[in-house]
Amino acid sequence: MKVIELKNVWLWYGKKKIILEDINLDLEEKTFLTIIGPNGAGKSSLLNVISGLKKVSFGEVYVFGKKLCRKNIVEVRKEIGYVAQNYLIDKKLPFLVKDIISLGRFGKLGFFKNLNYEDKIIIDEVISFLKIDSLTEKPIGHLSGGEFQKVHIARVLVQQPKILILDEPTSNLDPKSQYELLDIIENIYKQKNITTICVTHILNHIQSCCNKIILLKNGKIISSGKPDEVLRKDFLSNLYECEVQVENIDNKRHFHIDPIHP
Amino acid sequence: MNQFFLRIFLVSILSGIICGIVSVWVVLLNIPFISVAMAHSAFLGAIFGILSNINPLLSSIIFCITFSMFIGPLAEEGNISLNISTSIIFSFVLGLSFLLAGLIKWPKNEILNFLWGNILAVNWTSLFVLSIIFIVIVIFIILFNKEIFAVLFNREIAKSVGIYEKFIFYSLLFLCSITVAVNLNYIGGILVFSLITLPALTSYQLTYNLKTMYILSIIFALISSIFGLIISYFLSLPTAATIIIFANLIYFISLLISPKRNYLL
Repeated sequence: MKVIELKNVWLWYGKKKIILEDINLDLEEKTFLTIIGPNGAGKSSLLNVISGLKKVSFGEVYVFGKKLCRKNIVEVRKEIGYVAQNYLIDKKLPFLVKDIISLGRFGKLGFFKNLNYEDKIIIDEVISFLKIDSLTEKPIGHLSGGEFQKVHIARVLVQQPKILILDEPTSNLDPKSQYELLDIIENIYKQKNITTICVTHILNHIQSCCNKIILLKNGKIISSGKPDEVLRKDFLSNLYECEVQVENIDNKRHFHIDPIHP
Repeated sequence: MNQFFLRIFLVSILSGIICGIVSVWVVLLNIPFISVAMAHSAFLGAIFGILSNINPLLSSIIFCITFSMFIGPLAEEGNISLNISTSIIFSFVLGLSFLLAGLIKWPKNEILNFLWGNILAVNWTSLFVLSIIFIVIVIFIILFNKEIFAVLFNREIAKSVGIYEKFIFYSLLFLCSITVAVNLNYIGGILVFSLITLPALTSYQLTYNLKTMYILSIIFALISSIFGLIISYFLSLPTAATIIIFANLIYFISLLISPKRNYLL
């Protein structure tokens, strides 16, 4: 079953700035899609379009077989867990981690309903799944970068989404936190079987469970397919406009990719 | 206690509670200039009312509400911050105010009261209007508690989890504006700026919990209003100014004892 379908999608700002150009994309249920591309390729904009946060200038977006429109957009958003690239959070903000995690359920609850016993069980399960029990009473501004990302992943998981969208989840993290977070994402995909879309800049961070890759450049999809088909020296060199070496380690779809500056 | 003082006392309590709540929204949404823009919208409304023989209080409230409706869409359509869109509204209504004020050939004390406030203007109608606003705000908080929480934390996140954030956000803007409007003839448009920012800024220094921030903010606004009123009464000082000085003093004390102080230095 197709969960996401983009047909001739264009996105532009003003008259001259084209962000996305004629994007066509099909995504089957339970796919792990990774989107890679250089800065300004339109990766975040594409995620915004898929998650219904940005209106397309031209074309059609279908999520769960329904065409996105003003009438159904809020309902669709409830089924998509979206973690953006950067959240500017003031360190002194009066919000506790447990409240921010609970916020993920607010949309699904709808108006005039508060968290009930079942919601609290879902929240507790997610907290222990991500092993963040020790963070729940902390103010949101007191978290480290890695903890902050885990909390936002917890927030989207309590939403019980059908699609999980992660925009550069490992950016600004130290190597240990990066790999810790990548493990968490892989575990979520394997255990919860959620269709996942992940944007990354670091090619080594492409997960072994990833089964579809899109190369995005200047707002256009220049290549898409299975990792073995797409993660090729010629395609990646063209994408980044520099020499890229691709090494296949022990045939387990682990790639070692080193961009070499010209 | 005479009736006049009782009236002012009750207005101070209601105004303190309302401003305490609204100040939390103003501070967390980062829209402090909304009061200045709304004060001048009310000023424009008052001039319009006087020129067209309509009750100036009524016309000022209508103008406040009308212009408050433009702040959000102006920011979103122009892709600018709320403070910038508020400044645009402010300059527009100020320009219009001076244009219309030029048409008034008699003394302008009545309209200036809307900017500076006049304690003598407090009557039973003021109390009634404040009570209505108080009830509306309380009902709004009870009904949309979790949606308000989400919007105050981050509008983008609120939107992405499937909350009708635009409705909540515009309602908050509307309630902030109407709070400024109903406090105009008592505290004055310029000074209400302090009362819808300082209580929340004070509590912001002292807590990491939103519920506690609301409670502390209401307490600080009430302390400022009631003590300011009593001191001004006994020392024959201007009431609004005394209230604001009190609010500022409490803020400076909170800065000194703030557990968040390390982040400031």
